[in-house]
Amino acid sequence: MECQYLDDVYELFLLGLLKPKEATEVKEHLERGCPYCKDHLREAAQSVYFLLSVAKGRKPPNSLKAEILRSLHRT
Amino acid sequence: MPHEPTAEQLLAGIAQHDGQALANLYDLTATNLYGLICEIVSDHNAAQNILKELFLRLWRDAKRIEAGGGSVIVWLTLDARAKAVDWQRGQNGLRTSAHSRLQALSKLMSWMPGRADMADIDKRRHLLEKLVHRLPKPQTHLLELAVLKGFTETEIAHQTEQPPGRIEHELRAGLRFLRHRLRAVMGTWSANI
Repeated sequence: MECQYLDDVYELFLLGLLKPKEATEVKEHLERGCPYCKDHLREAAQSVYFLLSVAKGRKPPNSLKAEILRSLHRT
Repeated sequence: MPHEPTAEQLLAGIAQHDGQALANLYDLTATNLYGLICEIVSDHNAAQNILKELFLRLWRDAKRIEAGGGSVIVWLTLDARAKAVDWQRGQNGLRTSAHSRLQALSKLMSWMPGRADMADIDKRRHLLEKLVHRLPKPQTHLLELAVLKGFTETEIAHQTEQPPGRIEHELRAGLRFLRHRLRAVMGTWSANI
C-alpha cells in the first residue's frame, strides 16, 4: 500500500483537522480497504481517546438523566 | 456475585431499545463525558444539551454502532468531542465540520478500537499520564488547542503568531511522541520510555 508517508496524519484526520489534500488521500486509502491505514487509524483513535479521557470528570445535573430518559420515546 | 454489565453489553441492550441499559451506560460514562464537554465549551447549558443529544443519538444509532464492533466508550468520547468542538467553533464564527466528518468516517470501515484495546489503555493509564507530562510544554499547549479546541494548524499559527510550518512540525511531533509511547506502553513496539 506504500502509505507509510501518512504516518503522522492519522490523528489529525480523525480529529477533522487535516488539510483537504492529505484528508482526501487518507480517505481514499480507507475506502479502498487499506489495512495499513485502518490499523493506523485504530491506533490514532487510541491516542486521541487517551488525550480526551485525561479531562477531569464533572457530574452533570441530576435532572439531566431523567430528561434524557423521558425523551427516548419521542426520538 | 454477578458482574456489572460491560459497556458493550449495555450497548447490545440499547440496540434492543432497553431504556434501563441506556440509564446504566449513562451512569457509567456521563461524568467523564460531561467533564470533557465542559473542557471544550464555555456554556453549561450548551454542555448539557450536547450530552443529552449524545445519548439520544446513541439510542437511535445503537444497532449500527454495535454492528461496527468497536468500543462504545470510544465512540461516545469522539462524538462528544466533535459536537462540543463544533458548538464552540460556531460561537467563535469558525467553520463547523468536526461532527459531520466523524459521522462520514464512522461509515467507512471498522477501524474503531475494540473493548480489549481500551481495557489495555485503562490498565496502563497511570503510566501513560506520566508520559504525557514529559511532552515539552509548547507541544502540550498545541495539542490542547487542536484536540480540545478543534483549531486547525493554520488557525493556531494565526493565533500564536508563529509560522504555519513550525506549528505543523511541533503539533505532529507531539502526536508522534504520544503514538510511540503508546506503542511502547501497550507492548506493540519496543522503545526506551
